[in-house]
Amino acid sequence: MNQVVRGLLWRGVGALMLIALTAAVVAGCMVSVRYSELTDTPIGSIGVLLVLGAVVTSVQAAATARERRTEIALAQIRGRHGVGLFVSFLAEPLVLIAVGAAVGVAVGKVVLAGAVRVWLDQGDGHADAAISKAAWIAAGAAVACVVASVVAGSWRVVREPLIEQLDASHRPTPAAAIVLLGQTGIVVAAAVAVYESTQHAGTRAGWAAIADPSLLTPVLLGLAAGQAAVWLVRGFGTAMTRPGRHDSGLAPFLAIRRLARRSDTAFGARVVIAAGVVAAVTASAGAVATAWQDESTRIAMGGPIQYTVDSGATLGAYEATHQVDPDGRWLMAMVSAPDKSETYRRAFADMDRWDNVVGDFFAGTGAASIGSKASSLETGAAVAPVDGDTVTATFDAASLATNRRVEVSVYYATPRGGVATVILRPPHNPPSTGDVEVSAKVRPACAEGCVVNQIVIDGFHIRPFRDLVISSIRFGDHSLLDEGRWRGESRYGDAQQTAGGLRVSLTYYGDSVTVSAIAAQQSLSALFTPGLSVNRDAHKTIGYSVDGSERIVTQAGTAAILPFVGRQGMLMDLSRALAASTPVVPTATTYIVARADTPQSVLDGLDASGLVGQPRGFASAFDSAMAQPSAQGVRLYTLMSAFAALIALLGLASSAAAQRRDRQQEAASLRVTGVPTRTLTSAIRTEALWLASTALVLVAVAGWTASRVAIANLDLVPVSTYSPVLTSTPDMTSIVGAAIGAALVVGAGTFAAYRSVARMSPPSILRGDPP
Amino acid sequence: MTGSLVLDGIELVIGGRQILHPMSLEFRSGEVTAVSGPSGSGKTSMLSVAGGLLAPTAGTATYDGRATWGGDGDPPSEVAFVLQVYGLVPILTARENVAIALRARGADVATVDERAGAALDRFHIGDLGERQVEELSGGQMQRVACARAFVAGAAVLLADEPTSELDEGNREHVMAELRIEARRGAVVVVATHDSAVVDASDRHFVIDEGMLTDRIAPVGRHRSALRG
Repeated sequence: MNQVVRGLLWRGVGALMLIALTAAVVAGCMVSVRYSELTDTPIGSIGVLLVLGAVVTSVQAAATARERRTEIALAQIRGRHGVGLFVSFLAEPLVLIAVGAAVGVAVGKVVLAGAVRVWLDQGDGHADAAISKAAWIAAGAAVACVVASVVAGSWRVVREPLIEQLDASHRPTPAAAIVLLGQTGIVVAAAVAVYESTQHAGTRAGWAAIADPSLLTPVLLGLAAGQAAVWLVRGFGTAMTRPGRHDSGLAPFLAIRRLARRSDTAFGARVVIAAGVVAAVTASAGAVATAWQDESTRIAMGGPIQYTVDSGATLGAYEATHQVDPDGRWLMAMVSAPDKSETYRRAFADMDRWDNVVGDFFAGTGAASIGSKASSLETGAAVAPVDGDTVTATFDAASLATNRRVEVSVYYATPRGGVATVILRPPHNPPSTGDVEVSAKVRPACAEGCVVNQIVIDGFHIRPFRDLVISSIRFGDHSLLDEGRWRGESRYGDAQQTAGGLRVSLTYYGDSVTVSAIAAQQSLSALFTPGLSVNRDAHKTIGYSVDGSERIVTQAGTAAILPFVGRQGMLMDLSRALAASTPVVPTATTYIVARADTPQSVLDGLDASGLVGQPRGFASAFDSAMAQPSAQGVRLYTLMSAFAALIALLGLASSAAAQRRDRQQEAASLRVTGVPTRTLTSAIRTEALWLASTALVLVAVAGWTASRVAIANLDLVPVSTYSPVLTSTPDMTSIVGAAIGAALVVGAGTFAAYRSVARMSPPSILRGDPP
Repeated sequence: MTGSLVLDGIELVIGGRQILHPMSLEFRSGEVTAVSGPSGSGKTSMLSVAGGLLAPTAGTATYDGRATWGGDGDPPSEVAFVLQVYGLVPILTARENVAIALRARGADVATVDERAGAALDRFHIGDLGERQVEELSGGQMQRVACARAFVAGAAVLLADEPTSELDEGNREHVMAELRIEARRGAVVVVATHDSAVVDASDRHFVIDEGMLTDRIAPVGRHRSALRG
């Protein structure tokens, strides 16, 4: 035990690195798994951390094992071999791993509590940050992964012949077959993962998701890119050091030869590139998901500010917008009538107001083109609201004399979605000439404006009648029988609007003549989503109006996305659809949307109508959508990516620590020949620039590729048949940002790690025994 | 190159430990001076102070009247070392290790490879020029270190056990080359355990436990043979 403690103290930075790496992998896996459970997102994202952790830990373990060569040799001389030797060797790293695991659990708890508090806690107590059984399993898996990586990383050194362990010169040996196999295997695994991702293979359910190709693609492709960086840097260096080639300066001369001849030079960059690719995919996925959520929220909002209208009160909402905002600058009524059948998926908007109210709210979305096409939608024959408490009909007395048993029913819709009838019955013994005026009370009264949609004349089901003339019908002060507004419908009757009024005949018992508003039958023009297929009859497209009635629909244009209905459905003019309609279908939801800069006085006026609730702005709607569990996938990948970055930084630091001693010897050797310190620092700068440039290019390329194939499979957002499509086009800003970040870390990290080496390595450190 | 390397009352204390006790001595140009003594006696430390790698705790080390300690631990350009640990740069080939000494002194880049090759040839290792030094044996590395120190034509050549890994033939060859450097006018100081090297030197100083215990000059038992 004393030997283990002495070893830990002697190892210093190396020991701390193993503790930190173990802690990072354990904490990352715990947090990711618990967060997955809380948000119902793929648990398998820890695969990324396990793979990256395994690579970094195995290399760190190999470096530590090389430091312990003499110690291992001594154990062999004392008679320890095989398993016994390995057990004695592993005692020290196992202690470090145990400490690291404890630290990792503690850190994981803190990070998890923070993530839950910031992202999930809705105050309902459902977000429990306690470590679950699955999280403990993940922590155990992480520890097992680290132990396995240490064994794998140190295997070769422990198995070295005694003569090699005692050789203080540590001459370079060719890479072991297992190392070459691993390097090639990473590239092959990345290629397979990319292919599998394009085939949408794998599962994201349960623990099996750890091996899901889409989830692993970023880290595998990142590690492959990192390996490519190692090969690229060495290849470039080798090409630049051909005999006879003269470098422009001493600093590039040294930097290029280091890049060409030391594979460990690029190891730190390799893991940062891998983490950079993971970060690029995460950032790109975040941007794509955020853009999707933005578009989805706009589609669901319809306009910058949204009010939900009391159920059924579509007509009232429409009238309220016209009363409060008669110029149509601020408010617009809309109706959403979604359904699973595309034929029934329809949205309505008061299109004359679209440009003013909606403006550029849909800019950058699939609905952006609606504004330019709004004018192509037929409007007109708009809602003609009436108010009053009495309906009065005037009959031609002469025609009434031969048709004594008739009654006239006036059907109307109320602003709040009700339907009512006023029945007018002329006297049984009317005068023989002149006019007969008949009135009836409107119940409920229509103080706020109703829409008359039908007038029915029947003969009490007793007898037919002929040439009954109704010279006028007035709803309050509004004359209903304006020429051209009505059309009679009856199998056995007829109604014609003439200069003298409505002339009605019925030739069969038990029937009636229905006079419907022409507006209620007019065709509707609509914007279709691409590929929309609706009922067709005799080359006429039939759709459904706001009240569920069938209408002939003419396609006025196409838009990729429409408000409320998304990718499947149609958008029609509400004014034209609402004119003379019966109440809207029960499944419809009515909204009033307002411009973002609507004056408060207008909003107050709308509020005073009593039809609307609290307004909802885009920002709050977006935040609310992002807080939904279904939108937490991005945050899980953000957490995972942060831990991946931490592991990579530790890998970079570990690599720097492992190289520092050799670099000091090298710097001292160069200084003793007269190479100035500033030249050595300049060589470090050149090396850092090369590594950073390589990282920049490879992270960008691999990040783009990984994003292209993986994002669509990451279950980032709840994409449905109707919702906007989650674009698989990577977000270049995010990818370039991640690439620059990785390049900065590699460049600045390399320079910072070694910039002082030259200054701190005077030639006098070379005094000592020869190797 | 007629100056001398003069150690005037130098003393070295590191971490409270007296490495070198006060000593004064002069190494003359045109002579090969041997410094011998048991392991740990302070030979390497004395050479380090003399060549400007270490600052003396007291006293001064000067060449041609100028202090060799420049304040940063780098040797002055007039001084070249053959280090006991060779001090070769692992990322460079044998030829590049030699060439770097020329480039550091501002030599024409177009000629350094040729000159480095010639320096390696001088020690019979010209065929190893493109090998990385890690791939060489101890003796080969030692000769590369010699070639690197000799190639610059430095005014002061400080060689610390330059023959420790060499066979007899190569040892005599290295000593002959040291003699050539001295004849050129350089100050040549060799720290050694090898009596043959001592015998081939013009002067001989003995150090023990950091103290100068003997001055023998001239030595010259085999001088005529090695001067060849």
